[in-house]
Amino acid sequence: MSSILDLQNIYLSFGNNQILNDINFTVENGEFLSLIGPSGCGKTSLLRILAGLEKPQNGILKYQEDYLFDIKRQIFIPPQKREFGFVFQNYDLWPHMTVFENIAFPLKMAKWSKSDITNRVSELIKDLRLFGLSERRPEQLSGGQKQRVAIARALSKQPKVILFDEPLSSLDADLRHDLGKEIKEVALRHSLTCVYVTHDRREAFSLSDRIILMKDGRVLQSNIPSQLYSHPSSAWVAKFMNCGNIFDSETIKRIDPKFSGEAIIPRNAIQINENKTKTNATIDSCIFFDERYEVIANIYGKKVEFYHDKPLSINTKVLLSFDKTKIKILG
Amino acid sequence: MKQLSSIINKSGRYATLQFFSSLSLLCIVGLPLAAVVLFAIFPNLNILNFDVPFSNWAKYFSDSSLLNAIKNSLFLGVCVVICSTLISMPIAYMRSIIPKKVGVFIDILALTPFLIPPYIGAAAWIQLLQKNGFSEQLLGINLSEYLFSFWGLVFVMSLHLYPIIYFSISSAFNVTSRRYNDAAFTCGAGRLRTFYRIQLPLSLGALVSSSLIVFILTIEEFGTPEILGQRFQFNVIVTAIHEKFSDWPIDLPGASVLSLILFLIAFLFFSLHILILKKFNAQTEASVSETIIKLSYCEKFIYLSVIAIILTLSILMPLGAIIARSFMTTVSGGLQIDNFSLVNYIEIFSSGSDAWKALTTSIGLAICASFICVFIATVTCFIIVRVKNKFTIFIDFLSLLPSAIPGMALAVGLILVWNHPFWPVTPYNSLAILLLAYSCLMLPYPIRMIASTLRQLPSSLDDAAYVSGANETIVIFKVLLPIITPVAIASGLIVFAISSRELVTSIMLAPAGVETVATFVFNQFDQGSINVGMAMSVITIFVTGILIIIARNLAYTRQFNNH
Repeated sequence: MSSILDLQNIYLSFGNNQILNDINFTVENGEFLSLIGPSGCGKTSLLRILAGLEKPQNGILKYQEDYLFDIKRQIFIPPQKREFGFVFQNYDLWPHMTVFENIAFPLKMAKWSKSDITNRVSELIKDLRLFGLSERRPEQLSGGQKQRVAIARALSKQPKVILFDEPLSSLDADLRHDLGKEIKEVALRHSLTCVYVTHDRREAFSLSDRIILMKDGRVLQSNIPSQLYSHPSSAWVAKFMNCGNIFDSETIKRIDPKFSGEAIIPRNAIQINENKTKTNATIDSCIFFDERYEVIANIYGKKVEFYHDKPLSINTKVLLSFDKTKIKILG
Repeated sequence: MKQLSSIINKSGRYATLQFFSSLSLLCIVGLPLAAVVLFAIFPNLNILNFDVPFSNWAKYFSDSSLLNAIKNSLFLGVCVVICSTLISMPIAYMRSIIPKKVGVFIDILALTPFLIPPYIGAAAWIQLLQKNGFSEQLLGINLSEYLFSFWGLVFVMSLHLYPIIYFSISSAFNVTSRRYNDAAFTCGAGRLRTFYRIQLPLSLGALVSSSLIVFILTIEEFGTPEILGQRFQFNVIVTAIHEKFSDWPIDLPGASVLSLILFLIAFLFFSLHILILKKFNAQTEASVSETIIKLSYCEKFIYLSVIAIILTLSILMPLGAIIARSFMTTVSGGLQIDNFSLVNYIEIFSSGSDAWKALTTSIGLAICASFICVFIATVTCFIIVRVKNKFTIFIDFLSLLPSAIPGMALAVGLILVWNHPFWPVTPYNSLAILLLAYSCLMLPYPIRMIASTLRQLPSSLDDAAYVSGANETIVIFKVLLPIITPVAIASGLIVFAISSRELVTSIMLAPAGVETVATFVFNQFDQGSINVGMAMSVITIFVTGILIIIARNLAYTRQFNNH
């Protein structure tokens, strides 16, 4: 694969507020890349820089061999000329236009002929299962339909790159799952390169080829989903990715004196030992959820989370054992 | 997620629009205001002499009649605010505990006093209460000595202005109270305690900010104090300025000093109003459900009678008097069947009559003012809302300023600017000066309406168009303008309705021999031919009423609804 987008030394600030700090990465052709991080980490600003809606203070942005932004060469290609698709968080369909007109708008701007526009729009309506809706106005559509129209609008000029800004966050849980799958299918069908901003881990894991984790305007870690989960680079990453229980070096030493430093104990590394002669922990809570019990126990004054197959009553004393091969020591 | 301002909004086309907007605002708003301030400070400015600044202030501030006028204005303002609050509180409270359907009906009724221009309302009360007025003819009661007194003036002005406070606290009650009330009830609070512990503190911001507006409208009102006050030698700042122009020689520096004082008071109160709005707006949240409180028959009776009394006093009686007078053939004939006819209306609609000329002049001016205001407002709002730089703060300020400029001060300012041999061409002594005055006074309505609509439109709507390949012109005219069209039309209708009946600048600035609807009505009252004036009033009230209702519907039906 060859890289289609290349970002080097991107800096952005609003006044004294540093939004992005030395961002460097590339996006491969046909890749589905997610930008994930807590709110305010700069992921949306970064997406807007890719689209040309925001101008960074420094850096280079390349699309294939072309410069879209280069501070030294004084190049800035405006969003109208970048020809990327952009799917906005709140759909942002124009309320005075029908579904057809919304999807056709980018084509009209590109001065396509009327018959070409009609053909292309009906193609997209078929592609995104919007049959019978083309004369409706946005207010007559459901949330999921609106977002599919927004995706169709972004796809209409057959861009190579589509930018998604938390496209599913205004939808409810079930719909989010279905539409996420649909986005992935569309991306594969048209071999699109996607940059997808989200704060939802599940979404990022289920859709992405690669995830970039951001915090405070910096890239913390970039990897394929399973690697990001199994090899978090810091306690913060482990916590954000929900990799398991994080123990400080004092507590982890009480489990095994050989360990030193901060450690992650995945939930599947913890078991209740049925031999009840000795105890080391107390059950704090036990909730049934999705075929199993999510248990929180107190051990050495620390809360620890794990799964169990049977209900446990609160305040029961138990003996917890740890699968030491699964414990990961952070650097 | 916060909205980030877009980068493209700072390019070339916007610079041109920004230049147009600031130039027209400077011309319409800035010039007359600057003239008032400069003339008040430099009394010899008309001969371009900047000597002896403030030289005449000592003279004016030792003039007891002027000091009296200032004192009267302020006291009148305070009393009208208190009286309007007392009138609107009970209705607003009842509105918050009765079913919404009935509430909407009360809202529509409460809008009606607005439709009666205050000078016509004052004349109506004179017809009702004066010696041998309707109340004496029908009931044998003569209350004229109460009407022609300070408290009579407060009463008549409050009956016109209370809807401002009513609508403000009623919507505050609605937005904040229902859910909080439920919470208070479940905590064991009674209805009275809930009112003064929960509802009242939560709507205090709305009450204070609307009171400030009522105060400003009271001190800048001309017609009512002129019509009622002159009967008992009661002078306020506005009537004192008017006097400076009616007595020869015209005292321009004196008028400008008084105008400056008037403007400064209005500006101070308006700034407070904006400050309070900003502080309290953050607390409001939309209510989801409504709680209907079961009322006993006795309570229902009390509430309904209070509402009925207020509505009778503020709508039924003045409107009844106006309509009755408009159909009466002679003033002296009284309420007799054979004294009723359509003769006054026939006179108005016979082309060539003074009344007909005044009507057509006003309609023409109002149409022009609507187009000018909406056009300037549209461009200005794009600049204020979508382009944010240091310069837009200045434009924002200028566009809001007319709300704090009393009509009388504006009229003085326009005279000071344009009545001068210095200009090769001047709008003074032509209809253009009225157009300038109306445009300045009415500008805040379309600015507020269009700006608030634009603010509701997320800037990502623009961004979606930019990434689709659209440029700024297309974004403005193909994306944003179609969405705000209903609001733009609505604001135009409101400008039309209000400028077609505007009194104070019309009296001060109308060229010799030209009459507008308002000056025609006012002069008819003055000359004692009240019936034709009242017929004209009926036409004005109904036409402006219908337009304002259409405008309200337009503005509310198609609000932005994409989320």
